[in-house]
Amino acid sequence: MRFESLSAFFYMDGHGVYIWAAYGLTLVILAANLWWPMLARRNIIRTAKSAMLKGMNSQRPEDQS
Amino acid sequence: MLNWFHRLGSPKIFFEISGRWQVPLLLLSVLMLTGGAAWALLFVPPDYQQGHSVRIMYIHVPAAILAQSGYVMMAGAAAVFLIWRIKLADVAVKCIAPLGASITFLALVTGAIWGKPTWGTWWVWDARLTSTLVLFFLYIGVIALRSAMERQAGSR
Repeated sequence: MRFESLSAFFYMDGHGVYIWAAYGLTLVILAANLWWPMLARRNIIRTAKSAMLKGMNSQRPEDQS
Repeated sequence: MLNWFHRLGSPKIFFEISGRWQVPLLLLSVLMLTGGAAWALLFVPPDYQQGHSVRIMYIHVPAAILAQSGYVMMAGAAAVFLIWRIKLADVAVKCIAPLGASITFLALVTGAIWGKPTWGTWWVWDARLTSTLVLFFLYIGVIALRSAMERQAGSR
C-alpha cells in the first residue's frame, strides 16, 4: 500500500480529482458497453416475437377462406 | 483447419460457442480489471515527474491501444466480408464500431484529464492527439453510414 490514510488515497497530492474522474469515466464506458448490447438483444427478440405473432394473425383469415 | 474455420463462420455455430464462452470470459475480465485497477491505484509508486497522475496511464494507454487495434480489426473483418462474403464478418464490423468509438472517446478524455496536471493544458493540436481525434470521427462515420444504410434497406 502506498497511502497512509484514506483521505491521502482520495486526495493523491492534489491529483485525486483527475485520477478519480478518469477511473469513473472508464467504469461508466465499460458498463455502457455491457448494458447497451443487452438492451439491443432484448429489443431484437421483442420485435422478432411481435413480427412472428403478426405473421400468425395475418395467416389465420387465409386459412378460413 | 480450414473446415473448422468455415464452421466457425456459420452464425448458428458461432452463436452456440460464443454463448458458452460468454460468462467465463466476462468473469475473467472482471477479475483482471479489478486486479489491475487495485494494483494501479494502490501499489504503484508515484512517478518522479508525473506524480500520482501516472495512475491515469494505466487506463489511458490500454484504451489508446484498443482504440487503434479495434480499427485494424474492423478493417480486417470488412475485407473478409467483401472478399469471401462471410456474414459473420459483417456482424463483427457492426459490433466493433460502437465499442471502438467509445474506447477512442475514453482514450481522448483520459488523455486530456492526464494532460491538465502534467502539461498544464487539456489539449494540444499535435500529431498523436489530432490523429486519435480523426480516428474517433472515422468510427462515428462508420456507425452513421451503417445506420443510414440499414434504414434505407428497411424502408424498401
